[in-house]
Amino acid sequence: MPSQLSRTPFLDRDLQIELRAADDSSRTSSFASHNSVSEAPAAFVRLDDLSRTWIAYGWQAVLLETFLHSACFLKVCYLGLPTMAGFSTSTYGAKARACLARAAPIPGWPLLHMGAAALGSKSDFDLLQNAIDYLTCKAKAKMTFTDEEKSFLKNIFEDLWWGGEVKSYPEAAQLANHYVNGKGAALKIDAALYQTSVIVKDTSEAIKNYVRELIGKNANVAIVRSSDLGFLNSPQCRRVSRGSGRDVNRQGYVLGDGNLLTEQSNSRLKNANNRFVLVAQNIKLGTKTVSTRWRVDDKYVFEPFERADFITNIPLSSFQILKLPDGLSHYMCVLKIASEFDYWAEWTENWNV
Amino acid sequence: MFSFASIRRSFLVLAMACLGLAAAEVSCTSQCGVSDAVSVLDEREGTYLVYRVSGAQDKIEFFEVYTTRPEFDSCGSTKTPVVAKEPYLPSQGLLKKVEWRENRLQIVYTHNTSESIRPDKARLSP
Repeated sequence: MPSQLSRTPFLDRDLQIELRAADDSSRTSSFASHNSVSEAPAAFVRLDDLSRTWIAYGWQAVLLETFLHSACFLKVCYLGLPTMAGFSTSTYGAKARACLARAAPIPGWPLLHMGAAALGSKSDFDLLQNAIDYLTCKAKAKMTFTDEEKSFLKNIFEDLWWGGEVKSYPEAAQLANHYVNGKGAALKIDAALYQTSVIVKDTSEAIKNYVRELIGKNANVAIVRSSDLGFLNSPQCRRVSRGSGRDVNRQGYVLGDGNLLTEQSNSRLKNANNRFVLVAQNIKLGTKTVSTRWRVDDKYVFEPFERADFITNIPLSSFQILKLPDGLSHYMCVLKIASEFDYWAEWTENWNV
Repeated sequence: MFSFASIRRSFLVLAMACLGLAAAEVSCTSQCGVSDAVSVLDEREGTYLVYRVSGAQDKIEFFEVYTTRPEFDSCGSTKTPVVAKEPYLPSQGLLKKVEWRENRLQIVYTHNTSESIRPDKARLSP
């Protein structure tokens, strides 16, 4: 397949990448089902179609493609524009064809456009949103992306880092940046994020009281989780649980499965971690003191399109909110430009029994 | 004549100035980084049902009830006091309906796909 592709130097890069995608046997059947000659191997059908369209368009295609490549080289045009979208529609599935029909230019420098949109420029905002909408459509159709499209998405996440730094959400910014640059490595984040949270403070007090009770019964207290059945059924937990009358906006509460639900007024924590299990690793220091290492572990992952229609809203100004679908963020892992990763925070506290 | 390097330097200075202004603008007008998605789903006799999705990568869905029509800013915040607020937890099942009875908001779950509804299609059930 690569050798066949290399013989078509002027073909649109989108198209070449799509052809490579056809090698993926999991997709071959769906692509083939949209071809009129479904008996033939899908890749050959596409190349056959290409040669026919190539003949049909001939020199116009060569000239147009040469011009567009030159323009892109001079940074005159927006990168990633699916220049030959109409050139090969017969080779795509219906969803993919519909996406290509709605192709939008991909902005080269998203941060600049975000800045301009923040200043009120509707055209810059529309440029960003249209590009995201187009890429969302491609992701839903499970199409492959050009290098420019990948770079655009990666830049969006990196720019969230800038935004987060400016707006005092360092952890959310750090997590977003690590998603596209961390290569899946685990990340330690600042424990102060949790230590200053109302629900974390209240639940850690509840866990300490629970541990006091266990020590009185000579029970094992080495590790206590907020999700442990024993703790969930304890009177200490009930005081911080949902249904105890706590205000979810100001205080948060412990959910039925033991996850702590962040107090919703705490935007710094909410944007980094909205629900999590609190773990206490306890060591008895003599008879009166316990050293507890508090720890929160979680995974940075976005829901795919199939599971939820969630959208991340990024307000660029008071009236322009960029909408980034979580399914598209998830698809970035499929495209190998982002990686899910584990993150954690821990801190130690010595307290009296 | 201008050299390519000086043009590039000038452009970078201009870009940084724009970004600085933009950053200042962003920090002044929207302080939330990621905003909650909010939508008013239903209104019945002065009671408003609102669906809210909060968080960045770790999202949680809520249903809220207001007795005055709430106005939300770009962060999804409102000065209108919320009367009741409950999370919708998909781990407990699919959404069947949202009940507002005697000043109490209750989310009713089901495991039967045929009687489930999308959260953003929920309405106030008496």
